[in-house]
Amino acid sequence: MSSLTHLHPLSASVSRSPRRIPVIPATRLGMWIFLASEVGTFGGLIATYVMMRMWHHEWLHESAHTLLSIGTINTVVLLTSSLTMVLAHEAAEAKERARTRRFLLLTAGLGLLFLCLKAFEYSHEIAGGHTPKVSVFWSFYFAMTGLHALHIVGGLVLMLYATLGLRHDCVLRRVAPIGLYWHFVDVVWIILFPLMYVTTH
Amino acid sequence: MHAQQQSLGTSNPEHVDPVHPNYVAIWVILLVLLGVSLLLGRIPNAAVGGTLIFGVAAVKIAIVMRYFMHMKFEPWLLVALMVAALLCVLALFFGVLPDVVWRNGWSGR
Repeated sequence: MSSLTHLHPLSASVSRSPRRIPVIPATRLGMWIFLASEVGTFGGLIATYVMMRMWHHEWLHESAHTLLSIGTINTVVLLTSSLTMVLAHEAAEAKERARTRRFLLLTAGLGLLFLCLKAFEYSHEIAGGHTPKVSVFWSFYFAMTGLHALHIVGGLVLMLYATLGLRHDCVLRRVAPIGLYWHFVDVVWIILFPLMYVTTH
Repeated sequence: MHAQQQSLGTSNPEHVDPVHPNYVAIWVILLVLLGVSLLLGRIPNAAVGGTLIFGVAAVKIAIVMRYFMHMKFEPWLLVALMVAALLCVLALFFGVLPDVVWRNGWSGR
């Protein structure tokens, strides 16, 4: 019986049957399985980068050309978007459609700002001659940050979809898995930021 | 199943409304940790600085997963799924690392 009091803080959607078998909504279970596969994708890339970094001593000098200021602002933007996303989730669980829409749009706006800053960063680096062809470091840099940016685009599409269909209860329930996805994208950036920016300056 | 979930969520006398964490305070903590990692980047010893920076990053990830993703409240099966995926990545890393170090040496930077 005590396990019944340990329900999800924002919903009672994860509950336990009398035989203590977890009951998980399909959308949330599907999202977690997807995120586990994403751990393999990003984890493999990051593990390979770290090993290559140990090998290539000259990367220390090349990586000093990444823009720490833009990277820092983008980190603040993503952390803030995680806050607005969790507030959207909270509003969705309370079935407050207007507040959910407001926070989802705010999150999407911050995601868009992240992409704009990333585009500026890319243009600055390419103009400085730092293209993926120059070295393995820049190949890794563009591959990892580019894949991350693609995930941001995916998150924006999901949020737009949720915002447009908020009048339906089923869409309101999908804010939770979209939130999981967005927070995961944030987690990936929390690893990429020190890897690509902080330890290089 | 839906009816069962509803009954579990509403009619159980032991059920208490969960207290939401202060999300804004958590966000402030994350920003402070970001500032700390930027300061740690100024440590001249790259090995020490790098270790501390990734330590702070690990704390930030733990905070996001615990409070924003509500990992604490997910069933153990989902937690095990993520841990298994992470273990696969670590197996890849530590499986190949000795070969990389043996063949090429370690820059230590």
